[in-house]
Amino acid sequence: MYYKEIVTVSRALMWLVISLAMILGAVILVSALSPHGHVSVQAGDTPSSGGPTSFVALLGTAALLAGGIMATVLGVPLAKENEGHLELAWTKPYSRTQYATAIALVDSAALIISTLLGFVTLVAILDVVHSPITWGFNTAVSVNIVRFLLFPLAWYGLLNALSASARGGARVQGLVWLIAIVLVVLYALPLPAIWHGIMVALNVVNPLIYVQYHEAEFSLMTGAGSNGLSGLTSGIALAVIAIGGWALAAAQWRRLQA
Amino acid sequence: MTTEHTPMISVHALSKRYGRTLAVDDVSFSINRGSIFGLLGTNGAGKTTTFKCVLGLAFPDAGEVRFDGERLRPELFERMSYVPETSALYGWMTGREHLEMTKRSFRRYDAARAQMLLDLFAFDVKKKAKQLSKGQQSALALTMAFSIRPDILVLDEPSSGLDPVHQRHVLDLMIDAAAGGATILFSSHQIGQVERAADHVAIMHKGKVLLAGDVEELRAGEKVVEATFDGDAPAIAALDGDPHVRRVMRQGRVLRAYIRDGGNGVANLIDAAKPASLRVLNQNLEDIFLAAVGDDSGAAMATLNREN
Repeated sequence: MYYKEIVTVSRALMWLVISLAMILGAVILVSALSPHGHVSVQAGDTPSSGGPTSFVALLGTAALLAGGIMATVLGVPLAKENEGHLELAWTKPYSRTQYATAIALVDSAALIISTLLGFVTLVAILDVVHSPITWGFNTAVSVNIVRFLLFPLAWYGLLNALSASARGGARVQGLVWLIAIVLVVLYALPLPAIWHGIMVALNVVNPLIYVQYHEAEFSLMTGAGSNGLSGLTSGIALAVIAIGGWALAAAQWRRLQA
Repeated sequence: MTTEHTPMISVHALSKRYGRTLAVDDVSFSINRGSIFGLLGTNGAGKTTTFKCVLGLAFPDAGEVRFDGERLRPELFERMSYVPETSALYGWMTGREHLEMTKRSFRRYDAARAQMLLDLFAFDVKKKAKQLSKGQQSALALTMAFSIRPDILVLDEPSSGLDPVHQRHVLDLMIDAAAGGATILFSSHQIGQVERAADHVAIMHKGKVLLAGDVEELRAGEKVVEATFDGDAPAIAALDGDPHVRRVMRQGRVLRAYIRDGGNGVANLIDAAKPASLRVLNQNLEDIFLAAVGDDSGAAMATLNREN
């Protein structure tokens, strides 16, 4: 039931590993060639003044970049089935819901792995450039770890909800980042009350709103202003988008005809 | 309750509309276990839509489909295979990966049989589906379908794109599967294939089943009196009013009269016109098909084809 999706995610993960290895290799090369023996890097939106970055900030960055990109790549599996493969998908001894759920589970595992691969790469890069990382754990950190791991799943759920009835889904993949970023910017602009209200409403389902993170030396997605939500609230919102988006996608897909 | 006399596939009053088009109009037929049922029809007759409704890939507006007395459930696909008219393969996956997918999806997958089928079609499993010709894609789809040793096979133009040798293999596979107890519903534009493999047929036109039944009974139901003259075949006025004559066709030196019964009387009428030769034949399936869909130009072409 899930073999095709395992082949799909294996290939996507292979390309991610190659890309991350190339980035890390480039950093190592530049660092080795630098007259000072190393280069300094900037993580997140704000310039680093050389202080330590927490590992959770790196996880957030990895979730947004590696996890987000993979969620975009893998995020339209049902739309891809709609592109002429339903006769094969729907004549297996499983219900449409079982089939769609199997796909979602395999893809979700791949998204978690992608985020962790991105995280490991970032840790390695900071190590190469001798930038310190703090590893402290507390409740707030745990909440943020879960929240960041949920981001690619929410992005995946959103893409699926938008594409499950379409054929191919390339348009959704191509436009979703642009629209989501524009919505975040419009949300932060001092628009008239009615427009601001509309932006607030539209951004309720925008996962980018819920990955904001700030610490002394690091900011993530706060360039357009803070959303004022706690980590826990944001995490719950991302979980709702992930599960709700997928449920909406599966409901649409069940009703299609080949 | 299912008995040994329960049809393996039973389609009752099936209708399906797409917008204003009634693609399938009150279609009914049933297929017994171990039978090969050919669905014949012109392009757009509704064959593929019927298949999709039968398999739950499209939702009928009315009607009912039962498999061995049961409604379609996903679990039934464990013993059922479908080969669609257009390839549904994943272009980026190799033949080997498609077979692996089949193996992991169906408990009945038989690796030895799959290998035998690959050898039969001389198929290279290392190629991606998008690199395959239409015939090779058909071969892969058929390998996947037959490798699970299904009880029910639904094949929409199964030999599409295959060369004549492999077309023959497909017919042999179908006949072997039916001999082993499998029930087969298939369509083909090649009436000769249907005539060779099917024991029952239904002829569809504009969404309706015009004619259905046992192939031998249908063929025996009408006769053709075929006369060849030295010059152009003459018009024989007496045939026009004869109640036994359904249709008369004249094509160059050949005259054909399609008769329901009383063939000897009609043959005598034609013989009176002094043909060079005269014979009474059973109709073939092509005649029956063309007569049913009422395409005279097609019938004339069929006549020419047979003469050639």
